[in-house]
Amino acid sequence: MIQAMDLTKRYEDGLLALDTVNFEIKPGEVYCLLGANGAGKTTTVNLFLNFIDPTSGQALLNGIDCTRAPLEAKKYVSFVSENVMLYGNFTARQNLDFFARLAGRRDMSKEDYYMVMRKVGLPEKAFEQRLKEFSKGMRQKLGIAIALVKDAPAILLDEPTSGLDPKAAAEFLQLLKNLKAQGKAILMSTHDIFRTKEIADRVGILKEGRLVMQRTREELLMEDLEQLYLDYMQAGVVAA
Amino acid sequence: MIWVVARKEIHENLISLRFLLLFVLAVALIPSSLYTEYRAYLARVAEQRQIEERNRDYLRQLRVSQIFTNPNFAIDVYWPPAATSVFASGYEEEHPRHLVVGQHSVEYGAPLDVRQSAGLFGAIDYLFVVQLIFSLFAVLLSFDAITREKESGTLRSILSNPLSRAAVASGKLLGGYVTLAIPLLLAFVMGMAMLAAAGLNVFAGDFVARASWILASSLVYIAVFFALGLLVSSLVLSTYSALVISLAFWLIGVVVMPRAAALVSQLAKPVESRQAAWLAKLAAANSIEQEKGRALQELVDRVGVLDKEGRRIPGEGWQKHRSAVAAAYEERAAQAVKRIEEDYQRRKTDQRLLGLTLARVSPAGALVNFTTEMAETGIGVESRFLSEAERYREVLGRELFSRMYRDVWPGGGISMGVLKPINPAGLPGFHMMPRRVRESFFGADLAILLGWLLAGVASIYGALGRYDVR
Repeated sequence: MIQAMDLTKRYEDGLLALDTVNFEIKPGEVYCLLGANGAGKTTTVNLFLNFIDPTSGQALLNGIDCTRAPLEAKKYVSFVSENVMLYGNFTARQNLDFFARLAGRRDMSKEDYYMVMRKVGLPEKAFEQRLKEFSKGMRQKLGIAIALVKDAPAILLDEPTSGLDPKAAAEFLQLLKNLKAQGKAILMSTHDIFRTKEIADRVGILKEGRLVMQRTREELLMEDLEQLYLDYMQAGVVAA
Repeated sequence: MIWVVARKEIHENLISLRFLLLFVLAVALIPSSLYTEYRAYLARVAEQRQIEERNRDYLRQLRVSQIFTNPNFAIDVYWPPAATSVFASGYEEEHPRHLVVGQHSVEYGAPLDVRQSAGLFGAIDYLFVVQLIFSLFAVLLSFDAITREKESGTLRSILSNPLSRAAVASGKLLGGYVTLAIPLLLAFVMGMAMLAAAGLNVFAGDFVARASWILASSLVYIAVFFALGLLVSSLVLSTYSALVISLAFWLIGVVVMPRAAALVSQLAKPVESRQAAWLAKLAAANSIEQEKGRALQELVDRVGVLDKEGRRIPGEGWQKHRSAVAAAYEERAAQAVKRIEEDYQRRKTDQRLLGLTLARVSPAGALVNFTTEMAETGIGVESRFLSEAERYREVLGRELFSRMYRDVWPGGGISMGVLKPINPAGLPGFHMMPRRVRESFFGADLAILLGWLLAGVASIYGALGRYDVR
């Protein structure tokens, strides 16, 4: 569903942000991309969303090249960022309505929106509340609500748990597990090793644009992910 | 998809303080300025009627001797103010619809200064509101339309959906422009209703057609500045930079360029004042008149008869001899005056044309020219009035001035008389047909505005298309 094939990005200033990265995420699978700041995690997400063009290689969503047919590819993906970026002067429902329409959903009623917001755990009083009054956790929940409304088979998450308090992070992970159970293919870029261990089916570590390690959940049962991450961060760059 | 983005833009703008301020200013200033200008128009009409009436009485009671004993005798001509002047006062206050047609020249009459309170600071008319206030708010509504989304990250959220950047740009253009145009259209309609309530028959003549063209050009003009702000917004990353750059562009396009054009034209093609040209014509005419006087004196010395004191004076058949000599000088004087006038007019026209051409490159210059021409208060109207008055001067030359003579002798004595019968009350009147709408239509100005708009819109698509979302 989500596939990177020799994905490479060199910016105009010469910086090699991503170097021949390969991975594939199947439906119902959560793939966590770990790495330090500047390792290429956000660049990877940006390439799948066609925010930038790859220098070489392909980012595929449901087999569709994100560079050649970006509008078609984006039909199959939802995006939730670190700080869910929405409109502060609009209410939660108005934000949901706007993004639902952008996703092509014109058939939703007020009650439908309320139902989705209930599903992600937003309190009733927040439905018609302006977003500028929302906590970060509530914004993340609304971000997930937007993804639910779009109902895309692939979900890209860019450091979604950073800055969340433990309760909000736990609630967020539960929502992700629900999405996984629905068969969504999930790519999550994160620094959060603790929650990666809890949710990931597979883990990849990016270092200076190269995917230096990939492990399945089963392989990680035998190893300490935190130690593994630190070891790779200290070691030289060798592709996985 | 475009409409989804446009609807969001409209919603965001409608709840903003900027929109509220624009709305209040528009509905307060446009109807009230139209009403004030209508009052000024009525005052001008009334005042002009009074002056014309007095002028007619003066001509009715005028005796022929009063004409040829006054070397500066002239007839005042008028062109009635246009009701469309309510939109743009233009040259209405500066260059009056009153000219003084004399034997040798056409001069400006006194302006109908009905709005003295505006004085130093100038008046607020519809054109001012659109040219300055709406263009400023157009920029203020658009400068952060994209940078705000870049900074807050909502552009990432939008573009993660299946819609193109061109659709985002189109939605922003459409939504933002609708919120900008609503106050203008509403205030314009309110203004028309107010004019009708005040007694102006807005459906008379070509008022509606002219008003519609003025509104159309205003809508294009504000679109230009909206697109300009949006272009800056799509090119830069920070809202603060977008504000500074947009305001700088606004200042250049609205204030600096039109005024700099006048400055350049004055420096490149300097022309003396109309008064200086008038003095030059007077000096040339006087000089030739003195030559004529000396020639006539020689003629008297040759063919005159002796009086009781033994001096030669004009005798029988003098007029025939005089005409043979004086005609050439009078023709020379007329030609000299004409040459000075034509030279002055040519240089003045060149200067104006240069200034106007340079000013019209800017959106504000194009709007001002288009609107004032359509409102019948622009340069074209004044030029036409002057050339019609010049033609009338030639008619007066035939019907009045050539029927009398006035000789200045070397000793300072003046002799004058009538060659053919003159009926002051029967002199032909001055008439000028009002311009038709298509004669007032300056398509080049509209094309310039549309050119700016198209260039701006195309650049927005280009800039947003190339933007790397990070």
